[in-house]
Amino acid sequence: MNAPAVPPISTDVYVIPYEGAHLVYAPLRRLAFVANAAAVNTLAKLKAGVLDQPTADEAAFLEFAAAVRLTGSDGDAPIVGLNQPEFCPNEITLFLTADCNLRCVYCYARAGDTPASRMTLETARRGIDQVVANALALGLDWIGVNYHGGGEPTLNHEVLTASHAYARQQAERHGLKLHTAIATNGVLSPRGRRWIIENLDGASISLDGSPAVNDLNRPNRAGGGSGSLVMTTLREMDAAGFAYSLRVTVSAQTVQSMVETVTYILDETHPRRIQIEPVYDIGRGADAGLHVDADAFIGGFRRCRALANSRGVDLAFSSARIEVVTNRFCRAYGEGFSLTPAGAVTGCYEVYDQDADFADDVIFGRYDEAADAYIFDPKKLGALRDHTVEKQSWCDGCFARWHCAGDCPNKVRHASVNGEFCGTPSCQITRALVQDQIITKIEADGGLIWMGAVDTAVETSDASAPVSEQQ
Amino acid sequence: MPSNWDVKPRFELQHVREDGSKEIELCDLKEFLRHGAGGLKMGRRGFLGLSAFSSAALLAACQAAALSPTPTAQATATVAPTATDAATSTLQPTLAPSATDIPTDTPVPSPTSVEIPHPTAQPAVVNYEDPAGAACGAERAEAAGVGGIAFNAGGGWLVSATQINSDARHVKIWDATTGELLQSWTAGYRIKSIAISPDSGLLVIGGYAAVELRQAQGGQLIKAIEDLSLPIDAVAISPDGSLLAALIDERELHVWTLGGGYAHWQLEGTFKSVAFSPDGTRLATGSDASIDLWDPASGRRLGSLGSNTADVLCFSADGSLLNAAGYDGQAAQWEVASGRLVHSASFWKAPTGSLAYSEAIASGAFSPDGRQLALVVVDLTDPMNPTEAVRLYDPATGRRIRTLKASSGDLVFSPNGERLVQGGLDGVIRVWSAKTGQPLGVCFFDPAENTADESAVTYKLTDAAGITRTYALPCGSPIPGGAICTCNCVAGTYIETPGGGGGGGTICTCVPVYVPR
Repeated sequence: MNAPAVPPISTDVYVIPYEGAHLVYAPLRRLAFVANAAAVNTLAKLKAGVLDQPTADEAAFLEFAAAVRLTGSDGDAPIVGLNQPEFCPNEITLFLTADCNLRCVYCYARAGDTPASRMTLETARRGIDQVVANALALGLDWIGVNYHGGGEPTLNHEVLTASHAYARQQAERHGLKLHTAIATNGVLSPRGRRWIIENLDGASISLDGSPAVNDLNRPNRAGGGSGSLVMTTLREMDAAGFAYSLRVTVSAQTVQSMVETVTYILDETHPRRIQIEPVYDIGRGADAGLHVDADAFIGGFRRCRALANSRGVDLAFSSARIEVVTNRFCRAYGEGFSLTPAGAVTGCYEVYDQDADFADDVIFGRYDEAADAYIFDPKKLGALRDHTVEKQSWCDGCFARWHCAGDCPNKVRHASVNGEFCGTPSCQITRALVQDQIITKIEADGGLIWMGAVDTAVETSDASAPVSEQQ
Repeated sequence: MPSNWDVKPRFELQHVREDGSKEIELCDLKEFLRHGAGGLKMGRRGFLGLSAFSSAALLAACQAAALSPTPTAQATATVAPTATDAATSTLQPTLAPSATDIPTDTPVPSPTSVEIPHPTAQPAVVNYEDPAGAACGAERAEAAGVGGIAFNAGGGWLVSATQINSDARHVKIWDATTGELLQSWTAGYRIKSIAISPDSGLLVIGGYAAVELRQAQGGQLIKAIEDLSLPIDAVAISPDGSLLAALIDERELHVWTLGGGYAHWQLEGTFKSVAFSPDGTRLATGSDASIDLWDPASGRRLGSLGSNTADVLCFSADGSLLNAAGYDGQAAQWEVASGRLVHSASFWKAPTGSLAYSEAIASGAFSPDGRQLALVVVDLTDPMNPTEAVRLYDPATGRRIRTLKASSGDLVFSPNGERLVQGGLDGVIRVWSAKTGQPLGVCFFDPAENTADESAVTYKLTDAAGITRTYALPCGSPIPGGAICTCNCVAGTYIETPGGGGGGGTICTCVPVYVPR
C-alpha cells in the first residue's frame, strides 16, 4: 500500500540555534517551535525532496508539521508592500528648516553646522495642495501633514503655524480629516509647547535619558544641557494628556545608563511608546566615534524591555517587529512625499537637502513653476519603489528578513561597500531581539508552539507613532 | 546569539548536525501536563524542556518510552491548540489528570465546553480563607494593575486604585479582613496617589492634573482642585482631617485646609515623601538630601533633620520619633524635638560594575512602630525574567529579616502593624502577616476584572435569607463551606473533600479545563 503523499514545504522556514536545540521559525506561517536535530533534519529532507519513505517516527512528526501548517501550500501571511499602485501620496512631510537649537553629538543631518535654510509658506502650501488633490482623486477622506528635520521644525514657527492653519482650512473646505504630527527635540518655548498641544495630534520627541544622561548626547548650541527643558515639555504634555512617543538614542557614553534611562522615563513621563536606537554612523555620528557595542545594546535593551513591560509600556527597536510582515523597512522609499526646505521632493527623512548623501538618487522631484505642478523623475522614483528586501541578497538567509525588511535603506547604503551590503551591527541587534520576540510568543502561547495571526500594517506616520528617523 | 553580523546569515532550513544530546523523556514532562499546557507560566528551562519534546510534537499520557535521537511520536498523542487557531487544528487536547486529585484508574473523559456565567452578572464575591494558608496568586482585584493602596484609620477597609498608566481609574474599597469588595467607582483623572480621611468618609485622589476629594461611599465628587498642571505624586491627610498635603512632580508641596474656602499654601523645592505627625503639628517632607519639618497650617519651616535621602517617612505613634529610608539603601531615625539622630543603618547597597542596575528598589513602607521597613526590590539579573520580592528589614540595624515573593507595586502596613499589603501591578492584592511573613490567604477578587471566558470555578451559595447566588473563581480555587460546586470542569473529575478551612463544610476543587475563546 502506498504511503499517503507528504505535503511539501512551500514557505520560508528558518532554523535558529537555541540553547542546544533548534528554534524552527516560519515567519510567513506565523509559526515557531523548538525542535531537536532529528526533527529539523526530517524537515530538511522533506524540503530537499528526499523523504520518499518516512519512518514511522518521521511520519508522525510530519503529521504534526501538517497540522500546524508548516507543510502544505496554504497559509502564508501576505507580505505588505506599498499602499498604492501609483505614486499618489495623501500625506506630506515638511522639513521646515535646517537650523537647530541643539548640537546633538550624533545628528545625521549635522543640523546647525551650515547656514540655515528655511522653508517658505508658499513651498509648504504647494505641498499641501498636492496631497489634498491626491486624496480627492483617490477618494480618500484624510490628509496627513507632518513636520520633521534635519533641523528643529519649531524654529520656523511662522511657517509651522501658518502651514498648519492652511492645511486645516483646506481639509475643512474639502471635507477631509487632517492628521498632523511633529518630530521635535522638545526644547520649546512656552508658546511652542502650547501650540503643539493645542493643534497637533501627536509628537515624537527625542530624549536620551535623565537630564544628566541626555545632556551627554544632546547639548544645546552653547554647549549647555537640554534635558531639563525637554522634561518641562513632557510634563506639560502629560498634564494635557497629549499623545507623544519618545525616541531614545544610545551612544557609547550612555549605553551603561540604558536601564537608568528607561526607569527615569517610566517614572517621570507617560509616552505612548518608547523607541530605542543606537547611534548610527551617519553625519556627526560617523565622526563622533560613539557607536555602541551591539552586545551591550542588546543586553541593555532586554533589561529595559522587562522594565517597560512591567509598566505596560511598549518598547521598540525599529527593525525588530515580529508583528509586521513586509518587504519594505518603511514606505518613505517609494511613497514618501517629503519636501526639503528648498522645496525639493525627497524619498527619505535622512536625505534632507541637496547636499545630503545619496541626494542624487533619493531626491526625485521638484515643483515646476512653468507647469505649475510637481514633476517627478520616473527613473529615480521607480528605483525607490522597487527597493525591497528581495533585492538585498545579503538578507536572503536571515530569519528576520520579513520583519526588518533589509533595514533602513539610507543606513544600508552608508554601510555598503561598492554598493554591496554586507551586514551591520544592527543586524545582530535585530536578530537577537526578533528571536526574543519569537520566544516570548511561544511562551505566551503556552510554552510549546506559537501559531499566531499577523498585523500586516507597515508602520505609518500616524499621529501617535514615532517618526522613526528623528535623531 | 554569536556576534557575527559580518557573516552572511544562513538560517534557512538545512540539515543540522546531530549533537547526540539526550532527549527529554516523556515522563519528565508529567509535571507540565498536570498543570495543563495552556496556563502554566514557566521559566526558560521549563519551556525548553517542553518544547524540545515538540520535536515529536505529540503529547500523550505519560508512557515509559524513552526518546531516541530520531523524532518519536505516539500516534494517538495530541497537542493543545492555541486559542487563536483552535478552529483550524484537528488535534484535541488531552490533559493528564492530577495524580493527587483523581484515582489513577479513573478514565479521563473528553473535555466538554461548558458555558461559564458571565462574571459581570455576579454580585461581589464573598471571599474565603484559604485553608492551606497559601497566598492568592491568580485572583485579580484590578485587571489593569493596582497602583495606590491605603488602609483607613481603623484598618477595616483597604482602598485600592488602578495603576497610573491605565485609563480605568477605578477606586475600590475592600473589607480588609475578608477581601469582600464593598465599593467600586471611577475617578475623574488617572490616579497616581490616594489617601483616606481619618473618619473614613473622604477619599483624596492625586490624579494627573488635579486633586479630587470624593465621598468614600459611592465616590460622589465633593471638590476637584484642578488648577494644577502636573501629576500629584503623593497625598496625605492630617490626623484631624483638616489639612490635605500633596506633592506635585517632586517639585512642589501644596497644603490645603479642607472645607470652607480651601485656604492654601505652597512651596517649591525637592520633595519625595510627606507625612503628618500624629498630633498634626508637624509636616515632614523628604528629599534627596534633607528631611524638613514644616508648620502645616502656615508653611513656616520648623527645622531640618539630617541630610539623608528620604523616599519613605513615618512618625512614631507618639510623634516623638521620625523614621526615614531612602532607595539608596540608608535608613535613619531622629528625635523630632531635639533633632538628635537616634540610629542609622545601611540596609541595601546598589550593585555596581557589570551588575549595575541589576537590582533596584521600587517602593517601600515603614511599619507603624517603625521597627520594620518593607521594600519592593526588583531583580533584573535575568532581564528576560525579572523577579520582584518584598524584603523586610530592621531599619535600626540594616539586617534583612525576611524575603517574600511578590510583585511590583506599592506597600502599606495595616494601622495596627499586623498586616503588610501590596497592591500589585499584576492586579493582585497580597496580604502577609507582618510578624511571620506568612501569606494570610485573603483574596481580593473582583469578578469584573477577571477574564470571562477563561476556565473558572463556579459555585452556588445560599445565604441566611435563602437567596442563592452563583459565584465564579479562578480554576483550582477552593470554595466556601456549604457551597455547591457547579464548575465547568470535566464531569466526574471533581472531588469533594469533607472538612477543610473557612468554617468547615464541603470544599470543592475543580480540575482546570481549557476552554477556547
